[in-house]
Amino acid sequence: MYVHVPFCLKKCFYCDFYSVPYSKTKTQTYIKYLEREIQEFKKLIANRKVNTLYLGGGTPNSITEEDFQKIYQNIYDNFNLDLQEFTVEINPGAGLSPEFLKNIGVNRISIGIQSLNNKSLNSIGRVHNADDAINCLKKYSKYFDNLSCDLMLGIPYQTKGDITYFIDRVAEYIKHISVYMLEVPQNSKLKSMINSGLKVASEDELADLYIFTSNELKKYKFKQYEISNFSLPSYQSKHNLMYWSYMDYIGLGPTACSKIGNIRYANTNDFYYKKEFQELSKNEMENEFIMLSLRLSTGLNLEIFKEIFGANFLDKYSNKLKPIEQYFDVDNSFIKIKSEYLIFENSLLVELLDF
Amino acid sequence: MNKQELTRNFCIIAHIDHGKSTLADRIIEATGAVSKREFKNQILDSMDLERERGITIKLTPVTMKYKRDDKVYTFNLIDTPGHVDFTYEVSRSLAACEGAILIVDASQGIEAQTLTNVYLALENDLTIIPTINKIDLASAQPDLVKQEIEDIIGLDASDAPLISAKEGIGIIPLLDKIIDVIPHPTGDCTKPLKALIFDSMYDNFKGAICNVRIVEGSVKKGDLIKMFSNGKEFECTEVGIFTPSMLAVESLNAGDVGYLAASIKNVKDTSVGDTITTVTNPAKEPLVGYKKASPMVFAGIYPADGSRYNDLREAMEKLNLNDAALIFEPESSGALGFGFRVGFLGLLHMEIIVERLEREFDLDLVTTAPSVVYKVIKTDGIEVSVDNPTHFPNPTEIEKILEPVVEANIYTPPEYVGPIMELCQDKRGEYLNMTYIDTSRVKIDYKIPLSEIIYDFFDILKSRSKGYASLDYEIIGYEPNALVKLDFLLNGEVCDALSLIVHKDFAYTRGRSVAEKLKDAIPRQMFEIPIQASIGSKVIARETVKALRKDVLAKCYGGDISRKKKLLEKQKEGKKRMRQVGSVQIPSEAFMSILKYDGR
Repeated sequence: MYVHVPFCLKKCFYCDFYSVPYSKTKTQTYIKYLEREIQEFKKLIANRKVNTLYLGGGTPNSITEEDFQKIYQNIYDNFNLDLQEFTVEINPGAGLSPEFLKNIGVNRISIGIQSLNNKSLNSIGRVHNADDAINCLKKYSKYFDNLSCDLMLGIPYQTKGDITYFIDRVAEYIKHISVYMLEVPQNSKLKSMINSGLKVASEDELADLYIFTSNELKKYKFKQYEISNFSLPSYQSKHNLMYWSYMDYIGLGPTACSKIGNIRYANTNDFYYKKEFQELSKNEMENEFIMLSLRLSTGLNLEIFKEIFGANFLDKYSNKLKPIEQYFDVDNSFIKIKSEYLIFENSLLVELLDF
Repeated sequence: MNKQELTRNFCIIAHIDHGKSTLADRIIEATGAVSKREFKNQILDSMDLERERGITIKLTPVTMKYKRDDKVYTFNLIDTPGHVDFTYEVSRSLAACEGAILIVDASQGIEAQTLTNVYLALENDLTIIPTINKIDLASAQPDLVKQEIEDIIGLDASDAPLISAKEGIGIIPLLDKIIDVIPHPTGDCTKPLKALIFDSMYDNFKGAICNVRIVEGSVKKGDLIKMFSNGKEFECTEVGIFTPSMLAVESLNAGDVGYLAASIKNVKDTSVGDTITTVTNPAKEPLVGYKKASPMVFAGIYPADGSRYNDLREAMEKLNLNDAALIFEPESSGALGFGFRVGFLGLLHMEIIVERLEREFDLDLVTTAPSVVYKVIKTDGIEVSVDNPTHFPNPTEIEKILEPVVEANIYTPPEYVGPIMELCQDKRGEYLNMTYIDTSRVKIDYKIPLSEIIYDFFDILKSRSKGYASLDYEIIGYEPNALVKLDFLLNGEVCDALSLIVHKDFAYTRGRSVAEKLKDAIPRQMFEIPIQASIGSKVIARETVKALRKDVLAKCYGGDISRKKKLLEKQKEGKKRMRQVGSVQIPSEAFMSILKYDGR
């Protein structure tokens, strides 16, 4: 289960997620909408177990502990929680104490650090600086073993030295890291800054930085398990693995999406959101299954594919695989994109899939 | 007065934007042939494309009644296309007339194209009424233009009507002049039928329809008719006139202009310039001047999306019903898949056909570089005609290559003579002659290989003369030249659709320029792509498309799936427009972009 908390103290310049400035009264409205949505989903999923809970944003730690408690309580009261993982995304410098989160049952924290270069942080509109980030890591690490952080590649003023420094500084605190190559959304503030001369990495430079970063991470035994995610053994994000393995999930809050069986629900991009739904055809589901599972280092599970879609993947796609087979590894139960070609996933999917 | 004495058959000759269609509109309005309600501008130009481009491609004749004093005259106006590609069609429509209105723009004077058609009209013994149009313009200089007409063409222009077709000025006096000056048709109605086909078109219900001028004899429904060129016989199902919509009449008689339908299935049986006679009482000789339209320029046309080959075939067949000059046969290319080799009268004809296919049939096309027809003498003495560089014999089997050459007549204001002569020299031109027509106009004659004309000659000519120069050309024969086949290799494999025939002295420059353009047009792929230009096995230019470094969406969680799928779908759409050469994918647009004149 995912809960989108749409509040931020300030919007970052590269961000195109749905968020609004934090306000106490708006939070109450938001909680009311969540309560309504919880009742809707309760009917849909009946007593199915919820294994992972993830509060993302936005900035989940921009709301008060009292409001956070309300949201959690409501979920707890209405669903059959059997949580193996309970993650909260936080941004350095905002609220929610580690004690509070620990007490409520959170067992994984994901910190939006992005960079430890103050000039870079400032240029992309982050509210925190490098010291805030390190302090935040130190503070939460006292309570949580399972810490993750984000590192963003390609932002202004970033050097390879910055990346090495970043990894050297955070490695002792974290078990997991998400490495995102900068994508500049069309209507973002960053886009207009770039148009007026701000430099960000080119596509080629991004590829360089990405390869550089994954090598740096190897020094600390971080292993890639998805295109943008690295972890120490057994610290992969269970919640996110669930998306890539195409399991069912429900998402609450504005813009959140859910998949239950062959139905996709999507909340509108709006504070007073509505729910839209779409029935997925067999072919659509098959495409989604392939495009998601090939993001993983382990690749696509051939047996599960056969179970869900009733066909042998290697037979069904043999013609399409033939000209691109050098980019894949196949072993008894998986087909995967070779790690050095994961950053070409789109090119390979376009060869493989028919829409 | 008999009917012939009350009939006038005429056409309008004009440079492309000197106002021909507008004058036709005014004449139709003045005679009331079309009601105000049905009227639209350029009424005789039946295709949207013609209206948009302001040019006439298909000829639509119209029969009108004009009353003067107590007599009712029949006017047959035959509109003519105004471009060098269609000279032959123009000459046949001129042959259907006794007179021509020559429109000259009061501010622009005579243009090269006007002259070509005037000479054609004079060859056909037409009476010409020089008419000065656009006299409402502030820049109009009717006296200068009159002088020009007398100096250049040698026609008496002293009492040339001064009109403004746009403003409707001087139209009635012009109509009177038509009656007074243009001779009425003659021809014996009792003699065997001789009908000149000056155009044909296809009608879904009536079959191929011939637009005819009856020169001698008469024809009516039920007559058994015969085509002189191929001897095919048909039963006439309908004769009629254009008002401008088709109106059936009892019979068409010597001097008349109208149409004839005979359930003819193939428009190719109704060749422009052919003579129709009757089976029962045939004429002994056909009318003179029949010439089969022969295509000069060939190009491959392929659907951008390979799966639409059948749609393209159907579209070609439909267009062909109405355009007998269009010649095509299926061809296949390693790079482009299945398509057609198409012959055109010239580049404009090619451009029009491609545009009509795309517009009227909603197709997206890839066109290969236009080629002329080469004559290759092989070492064993056998001569072959080659219209597709791909089919060139192996260099070791070639004794000699001949290419078509044209005499190009370029008309230009004197200040551009230098750059134009330089252009002609650059294009392997051989200087023939230069005449100062008057102080503002020079005629430059060059002998130039046709292949150079069809490449980018016209675009450069226009750009070097700020649009003032104009060009006519006529094929004058074949000449041997040092030509070579230039191939392009992508990742080591020849892309057949890109092969070109060039003069060996130009091979290096051309090879480099195309390789550079390909480098820009081919998107980066997962591996590096060498682009090579080669003559035989010798590589003369090389470029490289660097390997793509990444193609991935960084974030993909629960809420991103639909967005990611949309991105992939879009990418897949783009891929459908790609052609595969070996392992390399080339966007359809790349084939076009290398043909385009880039201003260099």
